[in-house]
Parts: sequence; structure tokens; C-alpha cells
Amino acid sequence: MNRLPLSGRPRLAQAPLLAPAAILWIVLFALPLFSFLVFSFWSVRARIMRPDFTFQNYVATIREYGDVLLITLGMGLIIALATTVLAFLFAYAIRFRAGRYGDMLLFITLIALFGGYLVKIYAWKSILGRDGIINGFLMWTGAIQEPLEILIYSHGAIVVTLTYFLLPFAILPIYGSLRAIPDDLIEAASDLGASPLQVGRDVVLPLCERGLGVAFLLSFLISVGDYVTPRFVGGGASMMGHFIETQFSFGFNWPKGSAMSFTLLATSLALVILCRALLRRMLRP
Amino acid sequence: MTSRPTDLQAMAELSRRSAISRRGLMGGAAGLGAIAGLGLQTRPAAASTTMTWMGWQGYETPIKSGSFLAENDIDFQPTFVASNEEIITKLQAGGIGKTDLITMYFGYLPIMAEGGLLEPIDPSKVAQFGDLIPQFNAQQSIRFQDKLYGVPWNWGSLPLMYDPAAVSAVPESWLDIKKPEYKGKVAMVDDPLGNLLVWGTVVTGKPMGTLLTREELAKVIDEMIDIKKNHARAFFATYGDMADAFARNEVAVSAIGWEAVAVWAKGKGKEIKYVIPKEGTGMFMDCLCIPKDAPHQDLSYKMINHVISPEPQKVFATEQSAGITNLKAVPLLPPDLVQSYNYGDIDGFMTKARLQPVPPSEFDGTTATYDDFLTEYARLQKA
Repeated sequence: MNRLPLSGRPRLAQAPLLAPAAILWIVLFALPLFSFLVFSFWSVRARIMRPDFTFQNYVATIREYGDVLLITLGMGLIIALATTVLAFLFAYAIRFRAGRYGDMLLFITLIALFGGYLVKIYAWKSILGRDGIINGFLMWTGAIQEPLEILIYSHGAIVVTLTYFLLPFAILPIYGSLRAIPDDLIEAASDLGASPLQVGRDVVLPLCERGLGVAFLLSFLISVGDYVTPRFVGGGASMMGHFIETQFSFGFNWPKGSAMSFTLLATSLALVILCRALLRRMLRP
Repeated sequence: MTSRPTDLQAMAELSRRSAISRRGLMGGAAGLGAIAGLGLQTRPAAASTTMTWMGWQGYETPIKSGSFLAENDIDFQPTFVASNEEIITKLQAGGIGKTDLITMYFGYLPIMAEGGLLEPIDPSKVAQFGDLIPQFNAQQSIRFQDKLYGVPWNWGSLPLMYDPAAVSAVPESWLDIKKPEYKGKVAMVDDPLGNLLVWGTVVTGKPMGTLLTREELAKVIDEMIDIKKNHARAFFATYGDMADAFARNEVAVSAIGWEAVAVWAKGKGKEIKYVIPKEGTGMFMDCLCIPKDAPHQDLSYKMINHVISPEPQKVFATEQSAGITNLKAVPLLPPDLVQSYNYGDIDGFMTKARLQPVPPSEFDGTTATYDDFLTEYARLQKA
């Protein structure tokens, strides 16, 4: 396969062109992140951070918040899996099934990106609430006599709300991958006797593996880092982000908050790498 | 109140409801605050001094009242917050040296002073300090190492809220919320210190529910976990959410409250009432504080003197239905406000609603520390 020129090793002459972006990346991303990594080994006495080199913050994170960490990672996995599957189905429909309506569906996906994050949370609070659309419909049909309290202020409400919020972010990379699959390839597989299921499993899925990976990664990382949605629709079902926020605010403990952040980051990345390896293994024809 | 950008009324309302913590309710203001925070306000064309202030939406009204800003040629730049904790975070994250004045719950002042976030206040530069309610001036928590760090400004209590249409009788005790008839109908709010102010006393019987042994603290949290798991509808993020839940008939009684919740619920067409149960409750008092290295400290003092003078206090009390601290402003207030805050018998009011310090920083061999409290409270949040 031919490589695009820019995907090769950057030539020395290209370095000055990359410099502004590199400087921005270093100043706005790498340095702040590194400073928090350093803080995570410091200690706090009398509410003031003191330079130190201790692993105590990491030990405390595992000891005090290990259970929340596991719940958070579990929730992230469920949300990322649900989002990726739904996004694939939707993107597949746009690419292969919707015909001339495909562009319209794609436009709807983009429209869903508009509207504030909080707007979506409160929209779902209204939908899932005691007097929300779902309970109203179920009572109207006679399926239930009393509103279902479980719909909101539960882990399920967090999964539903975050899945909805993340769907557009997951659809776009998957759709991008599906668009790159030549029609000829699909037709060739069919001509050679592959059933639609085999075409999907052995041709389409392996070729959009990168899109699926990106969608899963985005969904997972945003989910595990979120603390607003759980607070507003979880009804007290706290995730790791909320406890990190506490350390940075009235906990006066930036070192511990930093250690909790890097623990979450490290475990999330490890899980993502594992999931990616599993995905590749599963999609290997 | 928080500062978030918005160009729609709806967004402002949404932001209001999204604000986090006790005053999170006032949160609505958050969205509008955002506008101010982004500098979308009209600025005086040639103001010579820009003064920055952090506090709740609505708290800026007395600052803007009268001709104070114009007379002192001040370009006033407010930043609205969703919680007291947000102010602490902002100061720690670069606000030091750039902020002229903040409002803060009095209980946090010793910790903030210890953490190097505040300048000591010279009482001799606060001309009306002697006119403030003496019981508030006498609070030890507005001082740290014998230096004053906050000027009492406004106050209120944390009563039990209830829906008169949903209760068979007005609750007399906080423990009444555990009656079977309220199972799944109790509103809780994730307000760490507020919960301790109420339930510390209820569980232990001690008047100062924040000064407990570690064993007592654990019992308080155990009790709250029981309420959360077995009686509560939800552990709401804000008082605004609690008001919404009352308005939607999702809850009948509350495990913590704030007078303003009744006002918000009424705005949604729902009448709820509040009562201070027999065990009493916590009380809050917000102070004016000068952050460390405030850039215009002379003007900060001028602003404090302006805010606590009678006319701005009257503006604040009437617009926010809040308790105020300058006794010379009380005769200017409408009679119903004077009555509801019981200015004639502050001592009597304070026997039912008590000002309490935050737990101490250092362990003295008996009393659970602030860090102990945070660790225990995390147990409640995780439950």
C-alpha cells in the first residue's frame, strides 16, 4: 500500500512548521499534566502542599477508593460497550442501508452534537422522571399503575444518559471507517459466496476496527472521567471523578487528588489496551 | 453560583438548577453569572480600577447598590460560584493575587487562613464592625491565631422541609423522616458540612454537632447511610434539585434544608413549608473576606464598609430574603422579615439553629478532625 507523504518520518525541514503546535501541546497539555504527576508524590500539612516524594497518596487511593475505582471502570465499560454497539449499528445503516437518506441521518447525528451537556442531562431527567414521558406512557397503556421510581436516580439512568450523550462522538469515527471500505470489496465477497453475515463479520468489522477502537476509547474515557452526570441522574451513585473533585476543593489535598487522577488514568489506559487487544483478536478473520 | 456562558433564557434556568451545593439552588443565577464572568457585561468606559469579587449570584446586589462603584471609579467584575468549595478551588488555582473580595461560609475561615488563602482583616478599618450582631462577631471561627479573617454579612438556617399536602402531621423530630410513611420520599442533599451541622446533633445529642469523637462521627455517618439506603428518594446534588423534587411530588420530607428551597418550589407552583425540629439545626453565616495578596486592599475595605452599611444591607435582605448582620439596618426591614429572622431574640433563635465551627485541623486526642470527617463523609457518598 502506498503511504501518503506526510505519514512518513517528518523531515527536518518540516520541524519548524510543527513547532507552534508542539509548543502549544507542551505548554497547555504536557507541562500541566506533568506538574500534577509531580504533585501526586507531594504531601499536605496544614492545608498547604509540601514538596515530598511519597507513594502514600497512591496507597490511600487504592485503600480508600479501590471500590469506587472498580465501579467507575465497570460503568465505563458498560457505557462504552453500549455506545459502540449502538453507534456501529447506526453508522452501518447510514453507510449501507439508508440510501439517499444517509446524508440526512448523518446530519441528524451532527445536530445531536449541538446543545449543551447540561441540557441533555436535564432532558433525560425529564424523560426518566416520575412524571416523565416513559412513566407517562407506561401508565397510559395500563402497563403500570404507579410510576417506576427505578428509572431515575440509579446506575441505569447514568448509563442511558451518558450513552445518549456519547453516541454522536462514537458514530462519526465508525462511519469514517465504514466510508473507507470500497463497495467493490463488499461485492467481491458476496460474489465469492459470502453470506451477508459473513461479509459483515469477515470484511466490514475487521476493516472498521480502527473506528470501533476510537469510538470505544472516546466513550470509555469520557465516561470514567465524568462526575456531573452521576451526580444529577445517579441520585448519589458517585463515580471516581466526584471524589477527585472533592480532594481538589474542600479537601485541600491536591496531591491526593492528583494521585487519584493518575490512578484512574493508568487503570483506564490499561483496560483500554486490553480491550483493544481483545477486539483485534475477535475481529481477526 | 457558577459562571457559564449562555445566550438563552432556558440555559440560564438550566444553569440555575445545575449549581452544586447549598446555595447551588441559587444556582440558577449561575448561567447569568457566567455571562458576567465572560465579560459580557457593559463596562464603564474609563474606570480606573478593576475590582474582582467571588460569591453567590445575588450577593453582588448590595455591592452595586447606591453610588459606591461610581464614586470610587470601580469597574466591578463579579465571578459567581456554585459552592463555597469552588471559591477555595479558584483561589488555590491562581486566584490569589488577583481577587479583591470573596464571600465565604464562616466555618471555613480558619482552614483557609491556615492554608494561606486569606489576608487578616484590621477591624479598625471596618467602621461599622461594632454595629454587627455581637453573637456573630464573637464567633471564634471568624478568627485564626487571634486575627480576624471575616466580617459577618448574612445568615440563615437549615430547617426540615416538608410538603404539607403529603405529611399527616408536621414533623417534630428529624427522626420523623424515618417513619414508614416517608419511605422512599426523603430528600437528601450532598452538602457535606450542612449534613454534619444537622445530623451531628441529632445522633449524638451534642449541641455542637461538628465537634465529635471519631466514634460519634462514625455513628452519625452510619445513621445517614441508613437514611440514604432505606429512606431516601435520592441524594440530590443541589438544593435546587431538592426543590424540583418537591415540585414533582417525588419527596415529602427532607433530611436537610434551606429556607430558600421553599421560595424556589413556590416558583414552580408548589407550596412547601419548613420547621426547626426539637433537636434544633445548623445555621450558616457568610462573611466578607479579603483573599491573600488582594491587589486593591484599600478599596476592598471600602467595599466591605459599603456592603455592611444599613442601606445595602436592606437591599440584600429584601431582595434575597436573607438574614443580615448590621443591627442599624434592622429597623429599615419589612416587619415580616424582622419576624421571620427573629432579630429581637437572636440568642433564642441561636438555641434552635446553632452556628458551629468546622471540625478542627489537628487531632487533640478526642475530637475528630476535618480530614476524619472527609474520610467518613466519603463513606456516605459511596453508600
